[in-house]
Amino acid sequence: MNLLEVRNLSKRFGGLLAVADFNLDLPEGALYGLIGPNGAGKTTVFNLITGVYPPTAGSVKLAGRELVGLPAHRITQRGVARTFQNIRLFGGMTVLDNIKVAFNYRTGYHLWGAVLHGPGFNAREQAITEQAYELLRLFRLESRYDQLAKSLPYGEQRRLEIARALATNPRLLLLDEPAAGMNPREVGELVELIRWVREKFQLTVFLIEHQMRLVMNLCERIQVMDFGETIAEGTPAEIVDNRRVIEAYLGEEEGA
Amino acid sequence: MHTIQPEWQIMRDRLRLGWRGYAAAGVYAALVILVMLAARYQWSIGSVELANPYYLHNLTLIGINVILVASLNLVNGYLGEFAIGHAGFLAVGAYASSVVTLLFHQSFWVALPVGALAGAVVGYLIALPAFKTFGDYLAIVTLGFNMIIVNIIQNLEVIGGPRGWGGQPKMTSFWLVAVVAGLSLIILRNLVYSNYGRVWLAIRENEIAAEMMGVDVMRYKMIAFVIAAFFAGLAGALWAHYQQYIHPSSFTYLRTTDLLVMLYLGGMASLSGSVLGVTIMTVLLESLRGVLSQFNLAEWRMVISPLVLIVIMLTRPQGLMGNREFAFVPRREEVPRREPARG
Amino acid sequence: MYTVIIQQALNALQLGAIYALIALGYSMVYGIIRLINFAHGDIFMVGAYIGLGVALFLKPPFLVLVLVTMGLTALLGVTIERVAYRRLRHAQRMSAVITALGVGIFLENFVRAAISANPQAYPVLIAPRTLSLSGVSTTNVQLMVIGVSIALMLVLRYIIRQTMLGKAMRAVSDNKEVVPLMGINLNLIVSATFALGSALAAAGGIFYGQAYPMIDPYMGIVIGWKAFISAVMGGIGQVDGAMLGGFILGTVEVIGATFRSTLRDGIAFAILILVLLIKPTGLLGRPVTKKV
Repeated sequence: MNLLEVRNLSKRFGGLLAVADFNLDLPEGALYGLIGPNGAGKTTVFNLITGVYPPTAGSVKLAGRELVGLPAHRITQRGVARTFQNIRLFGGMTVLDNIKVAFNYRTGYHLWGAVLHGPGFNAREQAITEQAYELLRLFRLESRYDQLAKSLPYGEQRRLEIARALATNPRLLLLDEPAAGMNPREVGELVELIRWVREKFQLTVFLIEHQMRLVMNLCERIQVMDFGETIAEGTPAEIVDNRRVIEAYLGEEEGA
Repeated sequence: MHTIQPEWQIMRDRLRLGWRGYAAAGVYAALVILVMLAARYQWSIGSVELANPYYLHNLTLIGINVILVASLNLVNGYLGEFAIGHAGFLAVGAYASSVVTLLFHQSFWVALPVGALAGAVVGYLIALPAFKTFGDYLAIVTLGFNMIIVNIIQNLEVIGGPRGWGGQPKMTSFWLVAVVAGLSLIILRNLVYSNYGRVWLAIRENEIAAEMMGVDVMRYKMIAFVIAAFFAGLAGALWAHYQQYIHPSSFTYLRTTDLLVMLYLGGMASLSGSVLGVTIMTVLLESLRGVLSQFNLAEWRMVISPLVLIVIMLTRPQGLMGNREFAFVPRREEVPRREPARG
Repeated sequence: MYTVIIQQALNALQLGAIYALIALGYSMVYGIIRLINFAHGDIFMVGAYIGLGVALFLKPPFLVLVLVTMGLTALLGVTIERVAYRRLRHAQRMSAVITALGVGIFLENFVRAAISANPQAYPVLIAPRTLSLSGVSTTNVQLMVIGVSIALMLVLRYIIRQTMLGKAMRAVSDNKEVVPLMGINLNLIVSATFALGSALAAAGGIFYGQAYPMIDPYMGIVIGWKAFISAVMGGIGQVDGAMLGGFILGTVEVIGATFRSTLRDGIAFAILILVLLIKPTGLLGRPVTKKV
């Protein structure tokens, strides 16, 4: 069964058609990739799925339920989590608090509990802290728990962002250029991390990437966008031989 | 759906306020009682009376301003917005409570919560449209509502209109302000060290990322704003029944600016800072009052506050205590003491 | 009936012209450095006081007085930017706004301490004469305020559209990053913007003193905000918008004053909030999109 079904998704900014008739069937547990030159509309697709922008047309269904029209935070609560191309951590907050924010809609206490700091509140906060810390441990960030997120080195910030996304308890994880700014060794580690995360959390993953090596290694199927349109779709092997893809990437330095 | 099972034991006692917090609360209570004893029995060192009416008056004003500044800090510090209409909610609290005592002849103990609730209700009504904007525009919208509130009061003859309104019973005293300010600080501190405080900071740090964490950003902004307005209304009720006279011109944006100076001097997102900022500015301005009037320069006192604000912004924009607290305020983050036992 | 309408239209034009002169300063500064200069209304107030001082001590001819006052106030505006705002240009956005608020209060309380909290009568700079034409009566002061204001605005429009300075200003407004690459001195442009805005506000201050002959240290608050409302209404950052907004607000207030004058300020702010909520970019503004 498909976890995510996107049908004829389109987005127009003024005169610019940023995304045109985007379609996607993402089976439960799959790991698919979305590639394309700069400005092809990839991040816009993520923004449409996660509700940052309302689409001009089309539908997005998660496990058969429509997401279009829901506010972004409701979409997250339904089980869609994401990371950002340019890391968007809560820089001035501690690493642990970055994770804890993800529990905001299931804290199990309300305003009165927070005002009084009663026994129920303390028990719930305790549980949240334990779960958050456990996540940090899984991502080997536990020793950093009380440091400010902005003080972490780049690679750890990327890891923290993925950990934070997982803390929302998603079914679908969207990764926007997770390997941006990474050296080849780090990319290798990232590939392992993503594979491991998918196994451990039984996730469905959809990722945008520029680095072909990562996409080819990792993704089961790949969709290619150019100027807002889907120009190819298939297995990595099919994509590397596709003439239109090669044309779209001609002159792009990422092709490897 | 997965669940993460905790595999280790955690230090539980650290979760609570801790002995430092209780000690601080105890010291505060002891100080308040000492001041009251000193006032009651007129303790003095030499010819100087320790708790003379002038000192008590200033301590009372500090208490009221602490409630105002600490609550404004929720919106301007933790949430990171720039709202400049706080004096409007102060006015709502002052006038609403006076309506209860003067027009309905009810007890002050009814008027006090009514003032706070009126602040909260008006805060809610203003927050609904105001948070459709952000940044400089939010500042303007909140200021605009402040001006409208004052303008409406000026046009309501039944509550004194442009002439002001007096005759409230003197119900606010030093000890009442001390208790209310202390409780307000505890409540605000508890909120800040809960999911609410975490989410407010997250919105300040990155609104879109917060939204992607499932945060209903609008709702959390409204909660912060309404709570701030609630406490401003509370302070207004205290103020009206302390001064026994209120005038629309006391609630313009000049009043808000005084609060902003104290807030930013103390530091954004710091309750300790708010207390510190209020205290320093009050002591500074009061001690200058005597000095300057000796040299016939009393008018120049009012130049000090804006200068302090400008100098802070240019040299130390985070304020004295920005994002930090005295050790007894925060909840300590708990860590496993030993390597987790694997199940 | 006609005469009443024309008479009120002249009143609206006079008030609107003063709002527009001040609104231009808000709008230009916002266009260049995206700062709402909360102190601008107080620069207008200081300009009126400088005009008062120049009139009392030098007693120059009217036009010289206006030019000298504009020059001195321009200097004040440039100094404020240099001392208080420039260092915060790359700091957190709100820091500069808070500083501007502080500068405004500082100017108010400074003038209050240095001169007086009491309103000052403005000297008569042009002997008032009442002119009547087929039942419509006006004064030479009113016509002068309207005429000189419009002339100043046309000069500004020319500067922005035709001169190198204006082209540089528009370039900065469009894209601050590439400007240094094109050999434009950004600091110079910002200074020039503050100078122009403050000079126009000073002219507004003198005209205000002539038309409504009392000034006080806190007059910049309400009039400044009204001007700001005009700028927002027209679309902040847009020079034509500021002028249009000024005249619209002037008209609204003159019409409103015939009903209940004590609600005037409340109505003006209600308009502001409505505009911000319905069309935050104003009547002539360009739409903004948020980038993710």
